[in-house]
Amino acid sequence: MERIMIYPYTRAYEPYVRYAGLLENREIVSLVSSGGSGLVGRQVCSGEKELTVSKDYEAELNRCDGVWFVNDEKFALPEDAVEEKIRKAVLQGKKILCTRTSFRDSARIADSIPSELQMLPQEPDLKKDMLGAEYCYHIDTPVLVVYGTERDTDKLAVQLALREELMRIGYKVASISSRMDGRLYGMYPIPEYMLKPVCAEGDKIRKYNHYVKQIELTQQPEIMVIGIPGGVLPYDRVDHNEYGILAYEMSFAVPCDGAIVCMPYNAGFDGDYSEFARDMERIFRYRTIGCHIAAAVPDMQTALDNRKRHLVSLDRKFVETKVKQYARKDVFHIVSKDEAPGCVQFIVDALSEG
Amino acid sequence: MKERPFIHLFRIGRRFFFYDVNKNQIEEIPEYVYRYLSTGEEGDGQEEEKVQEYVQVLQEAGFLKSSRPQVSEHPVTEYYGAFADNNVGQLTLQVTQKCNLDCEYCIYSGNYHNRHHADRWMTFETARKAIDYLAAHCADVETPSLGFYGGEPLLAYDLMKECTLYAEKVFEGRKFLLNFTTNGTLLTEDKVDFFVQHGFTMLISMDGPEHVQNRHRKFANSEVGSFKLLMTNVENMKKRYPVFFKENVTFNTVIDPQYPFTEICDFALHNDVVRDSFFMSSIVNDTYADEKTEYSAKFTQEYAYEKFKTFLMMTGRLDKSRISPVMREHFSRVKQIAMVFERYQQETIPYKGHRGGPCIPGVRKLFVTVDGRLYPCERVSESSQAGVIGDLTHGIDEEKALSVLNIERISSERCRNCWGYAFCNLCIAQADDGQKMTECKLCMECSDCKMGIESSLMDYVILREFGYNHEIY
Repeated sequence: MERIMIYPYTRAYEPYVRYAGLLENREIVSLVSSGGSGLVGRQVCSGEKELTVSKDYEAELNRCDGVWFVNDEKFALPEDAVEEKIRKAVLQGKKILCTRTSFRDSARIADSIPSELQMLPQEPDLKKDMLGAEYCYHIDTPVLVVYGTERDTDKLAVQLALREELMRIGYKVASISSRMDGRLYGMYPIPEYMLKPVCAEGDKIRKYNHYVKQIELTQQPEIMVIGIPGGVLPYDRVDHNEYGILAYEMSFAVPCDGAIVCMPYNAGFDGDYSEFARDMERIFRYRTIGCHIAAAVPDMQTALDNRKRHLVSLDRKFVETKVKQYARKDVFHIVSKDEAPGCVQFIVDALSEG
Repeated sequence: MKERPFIHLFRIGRRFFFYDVNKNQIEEIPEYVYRYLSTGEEGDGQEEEKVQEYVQVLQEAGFLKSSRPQVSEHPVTEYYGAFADNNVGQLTLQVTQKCNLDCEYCIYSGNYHNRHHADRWMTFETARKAIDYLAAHCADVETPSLGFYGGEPLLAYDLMKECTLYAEKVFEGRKFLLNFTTNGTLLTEDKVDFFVQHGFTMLISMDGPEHVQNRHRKFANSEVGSFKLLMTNVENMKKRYPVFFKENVTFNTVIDPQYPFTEICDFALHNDVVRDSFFMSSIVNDTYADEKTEYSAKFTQEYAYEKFKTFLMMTGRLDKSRISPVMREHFSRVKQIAMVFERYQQETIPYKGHRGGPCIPGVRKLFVTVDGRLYPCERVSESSQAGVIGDLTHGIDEEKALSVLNIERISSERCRNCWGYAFCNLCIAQADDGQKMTECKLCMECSDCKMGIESSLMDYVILREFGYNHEIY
């Protein structure tokens, strides 16, 4: 079993730590963060155990076989500081997985890591060059989409929770993540061309459809879980969520059989999301069958000051308690260990009925 | 109408308006409707019919509801702990209570009962704990901020330096902001070099031309004014670091309304050193003062003219370069009102909520005194127990912080029926009687506050009509 450290650990990686049980032959044993991250000393749930976030990279390095260098958008550590950490790990013969995309010259960084120390997950084994149509293929496998009303609404955690529970009850699952760094967890990443202006929008739709079809043909899954990055609809003129264009394209590429919406906690919410679900059906043809309440709440004061929505993290137990008060099967906090089986059964039933 | 609508009527010249609290919108109405809504008199025959018809149209559009909040509870109350743990945005260190000036309207001057200058200094140990506190409680903040405040913080320059280097180590490359408020008299070259090197922003107090600045801002225990030294330092800084001066230096002007105003505006507009700078300005704050601020007739007249010119700028009719820097941002409240109207429209005011006013104590800002006590901000009285929300050893006292946050509870009945509910700006600073928060003390500030809101609403209406767009001007 390879023991892995995540560096620099941020909240964006909490889902990967929580669902570390999905890793094969690897375990996450250490989380190291910058001292100013606000996370040092915090406990993070990892399967049945809890890990404490440390700031002592050197000490933690001794406990690991490999280091996973990740993105840290919010903290943006200087490039040379991270490179120095990579060098230290290499010197100690630790394996390196680098999914950090912010390096100016990532090829040079990759070259500095001896090949025997590169902990690259296998490239997706897809049946290449077999799909050349200038249209979208029909996807035969049931597709479950996970989308959010905005960023940071637990979408990755929901995708991992669904993957873990569906696999546990015997389904063969193919997950196409809303992020690019889930390969260690057996998830296919969202292709880079979907996030960048590298081709025409119509081409993106077809290419993404072909990508999903290839995964279907290769994996022959019984269910596919697709995560949509970012938020899906503009809140208003100012908080535009990039106008939901990516979601729109993805919905054309792969129609879904059911969808889960992830939204932040809101004290005024009474559990009824039907109006939002109707909009989603009309715009994206998404049949929303469940609603995950994320462990985050909007900070309205900061939003007003900065003209930008800002979410504050909540304790998951707080959200679990609140969700129970809605007393609705289709509104849940699926990340809760106790709730996940019931939620997934509900989702499977809803998909079957659809 | 069976029930009293939750509205506020006002008029501008011969035009009539109401602000609807439930919908959070302003509507213009004919005089006869205004008269009916203010007195309940429908007039006779034909006018009665017209009134009823008009009122019905308004009601069908969702106006004139009588709903009022029923429960006073700030929305953050139920998850305050998460905010205090993860969302502390700005921490300010009171590095010393000593000052080299003795400004009459300074909150430490002795003319106020919230603070006094004293020969008390923060130790590095206390500062270190405070910086660690910020670092441990800012996980969800985009860019945390560390500030230095006094007395005059530059008297504790060595401590500021030590804290800066320590914070840079703690934050390990994470972007964070450094800032301080100063009277500018101790801004020597070596200090400025350090601040430039570490990317500080600074807020310098500057009240106007020599005789205005020297009127209040004198060196301690002397009659010597601070103007000459301040200007020498500022000029020197601008000469050596023009880009830093433009981007990182802001001036703060405290306006004393007993004296003429135009000379202050003209100074900032024409002085070669500061005319391109960003100014913040406010009328002398008398919240904790022993005496209320007096307004002279000359000031009122001159202020009105400068306001008129500023409104011309805000509606695109006069170039910014013709407006004194002191006034350019003076009406930021109107801008805030415009943003609130634009983004937070509603059908009915929530059943449970809290009026405007309090920041989230210990979250948005956190002020640490020389001895490590925690206050919601630097404006809250240090002489009273009411404002202490914890200390560096034990952290935030959640119960205390929640009582400061839910200040409406001391005057629920009054606040829930007040049309100024959304735009109220009264917080603990106005409710603190020196020992605790009281309704009586708060109510003394109520009418001034409502007048301020009404005045800003009127300003907004006029500006909007003349094409004001808060995103452009």
